[in-house]
Amino acid sequence: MNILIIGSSTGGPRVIFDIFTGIPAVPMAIVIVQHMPESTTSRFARRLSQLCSMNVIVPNGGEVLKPGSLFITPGDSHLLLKNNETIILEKSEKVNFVRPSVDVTMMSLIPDSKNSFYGLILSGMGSDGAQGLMYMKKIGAQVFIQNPDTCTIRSMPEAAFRLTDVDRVLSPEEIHDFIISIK
Amino acid sequence: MDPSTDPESSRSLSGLMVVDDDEDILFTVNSLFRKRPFPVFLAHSGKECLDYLEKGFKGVILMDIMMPGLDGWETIQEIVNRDLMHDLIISMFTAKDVPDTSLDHLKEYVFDYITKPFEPENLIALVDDYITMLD
Repeated sequence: MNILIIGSSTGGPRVIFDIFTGIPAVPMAIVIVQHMPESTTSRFARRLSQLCSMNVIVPNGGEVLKPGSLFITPGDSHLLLKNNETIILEKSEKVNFVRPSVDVTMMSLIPDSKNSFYGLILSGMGSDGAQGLMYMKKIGAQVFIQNPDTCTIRSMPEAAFRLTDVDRVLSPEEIHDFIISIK
Repeated sequence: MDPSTDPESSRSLSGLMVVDDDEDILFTVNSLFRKRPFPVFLAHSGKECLDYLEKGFKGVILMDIMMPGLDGWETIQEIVNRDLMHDLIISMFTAKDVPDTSLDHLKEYVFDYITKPFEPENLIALVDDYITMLD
């Protein structure tokens, strides 16, 4: 299965809306880790479900990743993937000042040969996701950042870029095209 | 504030609040959104913003950073402290294009970051989108 983890913070929602507008149900499970308050999660998810044809889900924990699904990490919870497939939600300590943390989700993956991993860091303050993207690269993922010149806040993708030899630096349009190209 | 809009009587409505000590900015944004189907609240300070929230304001907040008294970040911290962070989308609204890294602990409460000067069409589209999200 193709698994894409997207990390995003301030300025990310508007680019996520742009990226997912018109996206069909691609054969990929996508997990979005957006820094946001818990009260915003369901609205963010509902907006996304209006824009794309993916099955948008705010998990409660225990769900299994499936192609064509877009999981929105609930605010105030870390999301981990057990055995790369089952969603676990935790209220453990904040990491990089935030919960959910992108690093936590990305670093919960384990190397395996049956899945293809992809990691992506979008606009945001701070450096959450930088360690996680480096880890994903080490376990064989293809890793990308949003082109900082297209970011509202460039700190997060730049922090990831400093740590990791990323595979591609993509504009929002190119990210959209990449997701659609997954077969 | 638009005299026809009072948070007490608009509880069921999503609205826009602009928090800025610059009267010109308040006037400009108010003019831009005058014909939109939601009320616009103008707060001249962080304290005034908190007062509106205590009265029940829900919706989108455009928050200036550099203000006398409580600055934008301190106002957000106070919103969190008072447990008022419900049904809100907050965007910083500032001339400063790079946030201070010491404020990382507040980033999860800031949905967007709009820099001034702004393109009116872009601001309207963005606020409309966020208001739709909250409907």
